Amino acid sequence: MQKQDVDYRSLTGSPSPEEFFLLSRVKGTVSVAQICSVSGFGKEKTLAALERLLEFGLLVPASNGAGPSVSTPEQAPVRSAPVPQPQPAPVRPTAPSPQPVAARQAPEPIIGADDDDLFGGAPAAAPQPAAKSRADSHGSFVPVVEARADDLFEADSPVFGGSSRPARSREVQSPSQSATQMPARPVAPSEPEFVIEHTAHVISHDDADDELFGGARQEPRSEAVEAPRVSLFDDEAPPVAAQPAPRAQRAPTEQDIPEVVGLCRVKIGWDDFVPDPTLMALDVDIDELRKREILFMYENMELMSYYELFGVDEQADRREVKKAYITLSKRYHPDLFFRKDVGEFGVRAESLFKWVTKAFQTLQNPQKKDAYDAELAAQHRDEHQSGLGSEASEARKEEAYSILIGRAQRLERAGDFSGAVDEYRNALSFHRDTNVILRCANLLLRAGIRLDEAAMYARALLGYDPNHLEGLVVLGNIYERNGMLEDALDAYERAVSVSGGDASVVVHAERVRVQMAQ
Amino acid sequence: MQRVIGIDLGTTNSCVAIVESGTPRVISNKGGYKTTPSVVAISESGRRLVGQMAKRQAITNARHTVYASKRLIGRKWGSPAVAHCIETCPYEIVPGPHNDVRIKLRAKEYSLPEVSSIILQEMKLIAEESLGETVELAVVTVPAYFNDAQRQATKDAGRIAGLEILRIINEPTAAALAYGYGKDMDRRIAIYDLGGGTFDISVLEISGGVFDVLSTAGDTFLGGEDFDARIIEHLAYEFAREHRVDLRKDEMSLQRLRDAAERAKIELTNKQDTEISLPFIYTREGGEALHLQTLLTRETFEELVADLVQRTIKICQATLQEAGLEISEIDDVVLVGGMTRMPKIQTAVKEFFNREPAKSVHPDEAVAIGAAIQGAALVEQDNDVLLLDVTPHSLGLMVHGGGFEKLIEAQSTVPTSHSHVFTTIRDNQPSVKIVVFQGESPRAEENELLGEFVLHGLRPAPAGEVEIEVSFDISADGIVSVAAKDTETGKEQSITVTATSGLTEDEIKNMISENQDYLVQLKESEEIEKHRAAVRKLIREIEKLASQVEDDASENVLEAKRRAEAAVDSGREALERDQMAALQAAEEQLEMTFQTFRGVAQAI
Repeated sequence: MQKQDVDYRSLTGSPSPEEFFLLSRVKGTVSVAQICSVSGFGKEKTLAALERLLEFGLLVPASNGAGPSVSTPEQAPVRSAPVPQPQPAPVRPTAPSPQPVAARQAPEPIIGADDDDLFGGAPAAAPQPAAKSRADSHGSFVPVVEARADDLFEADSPVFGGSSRPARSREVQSPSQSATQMPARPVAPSEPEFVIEHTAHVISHDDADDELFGGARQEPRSEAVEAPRVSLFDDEAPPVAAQPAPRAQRAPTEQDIPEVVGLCRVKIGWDDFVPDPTLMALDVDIDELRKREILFMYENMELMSYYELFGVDEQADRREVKKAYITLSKRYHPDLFFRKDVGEFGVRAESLFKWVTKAFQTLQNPQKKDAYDAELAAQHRDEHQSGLGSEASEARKEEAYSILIGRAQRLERAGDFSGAVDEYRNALSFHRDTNVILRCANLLLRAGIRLDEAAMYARALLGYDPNHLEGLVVLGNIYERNGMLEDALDAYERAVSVSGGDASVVVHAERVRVQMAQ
Repeated sequence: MQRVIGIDLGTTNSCVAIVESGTPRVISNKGGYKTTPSVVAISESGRRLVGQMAKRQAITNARHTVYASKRLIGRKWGSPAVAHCIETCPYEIVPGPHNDVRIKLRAKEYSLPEVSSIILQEMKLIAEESLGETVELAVVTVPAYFNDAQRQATKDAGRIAGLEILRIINEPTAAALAYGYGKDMDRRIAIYDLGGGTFDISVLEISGGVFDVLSTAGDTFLGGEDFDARIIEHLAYEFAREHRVDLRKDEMSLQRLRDAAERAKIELTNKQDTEISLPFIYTREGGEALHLQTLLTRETFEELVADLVQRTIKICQATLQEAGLEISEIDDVVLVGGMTRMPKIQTAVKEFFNREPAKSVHPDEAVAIGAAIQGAALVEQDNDVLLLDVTPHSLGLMVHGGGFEKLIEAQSTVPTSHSHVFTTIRDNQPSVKIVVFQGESPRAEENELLGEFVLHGLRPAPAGEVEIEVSFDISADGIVSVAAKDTETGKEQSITVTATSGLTEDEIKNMISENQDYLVQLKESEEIEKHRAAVRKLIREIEKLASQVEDDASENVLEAKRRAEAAVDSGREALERDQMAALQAAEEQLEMTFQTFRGVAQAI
């Protein structure tokens, strides 16, 4: 969720107190789950308010969703949102959607997760557009998520067809794999078509999965992929088959899975996660989604720093840490499984609880926290020096990345934009994230300093994606600021065409034209 | 779904509660009281007496009436606590077979879990009577500062009583549950729990339905009984000064003093002074009767117990320090336990915490209510209550030289686990003995021994070369398990630690079956008693009728009278034989006779 710079007075209608409250809370980019957890007036109300804010154009989906390539009819309000000063940089991952779990279980295609209710508006009638809206509703950290979602909708679909890019295709396969493929990630969210292509590849490469996983893991995957294909294409009335989907996906929404998983700064996409099928097959007293959540968290807990686990930054105060601890305790404390037959899952949840408690006790105790911070810092130094290496070092690299991002965010909040950009740049050496690049450009632009550098960031961004709408607008802004009106106009015009003539972008071009005429 | 009761098994009084459709309530006993004295007695005829009945006959049956058994549960023979009880208790305390403690009542030696089981069973019956269904599940509270042996013994007591104890929880924590349940609060609270026998202080943070215990401490030998003891001592001393007689040497005098002291203490809650009058408290050998008559003022009483009050405040101080909290960081102070009614304690707490104590929970009932809340939270699907409790004592091993190496620090949230690598101290050492202790002393032997086991088959190597990883685990139930692993060979040994001074499994099983036999007998004797009463009543009725028709000499009446007499005779006989079948037959016969006799009598 990104806040737009909009004059509130220009609003048609009067926003409710809830909406104003949310506006005051949304700063930079925030996941829907986070908003829900801070709003204090319940998920349903929060979602409703968010939806209204989207309609007003005060918020936009965090990722590069404004691009025409991903917009859908349902997204009309978003597209028309004014984008005079895009503030991207979703430095926190938006909540990954729990949907694929359900997808693997249920034969019907399931469209989107809770987020989609927001971005997609009314329940989507046709599966494809919904899939799209889902894809762009996610933050940049979890591009793979989108890929999974699209598994459902079958790559053969002409709408999504295209050439494959093998370089990315394997990333979906395993959590550890995807962790090692980080540099490729940022590209995905800005290019939904690309995501689809690569999904096509996944499906056609089912055989290759064997090499990665061994047979056991392979089976449920291919089944899951197969199942929707049948229901979608063999069914006589595909739209009808798709109808129940929006209802089916509500269950996970209510279970707050994204909130818990989203609380943590997980590096390995939730949707990308392939749980151990033997464990998933256990007949125990918890539902599939919960099983998946526990396995997912269990496998990832040690890869996350305590800060990532709690979804807080290093300066977080006691209350914030405590709040996260309570949320996690309420998911994994063994009492929740008291006298239930949960088998292995109970053991894992208990380990999770112990881990979470250890993390909490460390962060609560100033001495322990200092020692831990020092340890983390030492780790990052080592990694920085030793460079590339095993998966483990990739994971630590990711840790370093998020720590640097955290630092940058603090500096940014403190108003030190220049310092923040320096930290962001350091972070980029670990992981190229288009959103971070855009953020650097934006910050410099906003501070009106180091504009050459800002232009460099913007151009770098366009190097990844020549049609990056926000990138184009920012570049235009920078040129405009430097008095390079022709170049500015050029950038704006490209933005206009990319956005499909979005009014908020057209305004920029018009303004420059006026200036040039003068 | 099975219902879970919450039982506050107190030193002096016990209380039982249940949560019904989200609302906790205390269940009153047959007498209409919400608490039941934790007193067990065996009468001269060998009958078990519990609660009010047992307490009432204590003066005449002091030797066979057990008070404050909680002070002895889980203790070892020879410990100072036991020695203290032997000195002050009227009942006979004898050593048990496992270095444990037994109480001799009439001909039988009872283990402490058995004594407690009698109380737990009474609480179970109170609940069953009120609910009209059998109850098998319970959450029972213990003082926060109870060690593993004491908790285990309490669990055993539950088993003997036919209750499955789902969880043993700490009393102050339970009180906090009662305080915060159903309220949307985000506060840090201190629970000051001064009960009949123990003192506990816990600091908790309540938010979002999660009750997170930050720190807990206490003294298992500081409670109302000690306050009473001060009054007893005072009275006995005054009496001795006057009459050169030590009242404490005489069982009955001591029991009367005990009662008087408790009453005086309670009265001084509301009054400035109280009259203690114990006529004929002692009879000299010559037959001279001595009386105790004195006035006890609140001031004197407060002087007598000033150090006890101060001790509780010191413990509060230490607890806050341990939790790294300032007094100003505590939002509420909650008083629990009957002793907190004492004005001096209220002012001391108020002064220390610098705020008026919260009064929203009932000091006698909060703990049982909290236990019931936890019970419901455990078995119900959707509930918002989660208790994050801590272990009150550190856990560790004895290391070379008798030192104590802590592996799990006190105040760690449970469940928790921790492991540490140890090494051998001798060349070619073939095995290591893992001795597990609980406590805070750096000397292992000064702590509570929990258990021990041996890891054999170590590889022959120079000292310090073999590494043994020892891991400790405390489950949410507070059950300690320890595993030791030779890191090289992977050889593993583990135990689930149970109290070494407790009962053996066989003993517990025996006690369970004995108890069941007792219950069957009890039921039978209750049944017999019912029939006896009916027979007696019918005999009375028939005799009344007979006297009404005494003057009538008609054949009809005479015949009826004869029959009635025969029936009454056989009824008397049945009463004497005291057998179920005979009583039942007699009752039937009497009933019939009575009906016909009445018909005849009315016809006149």
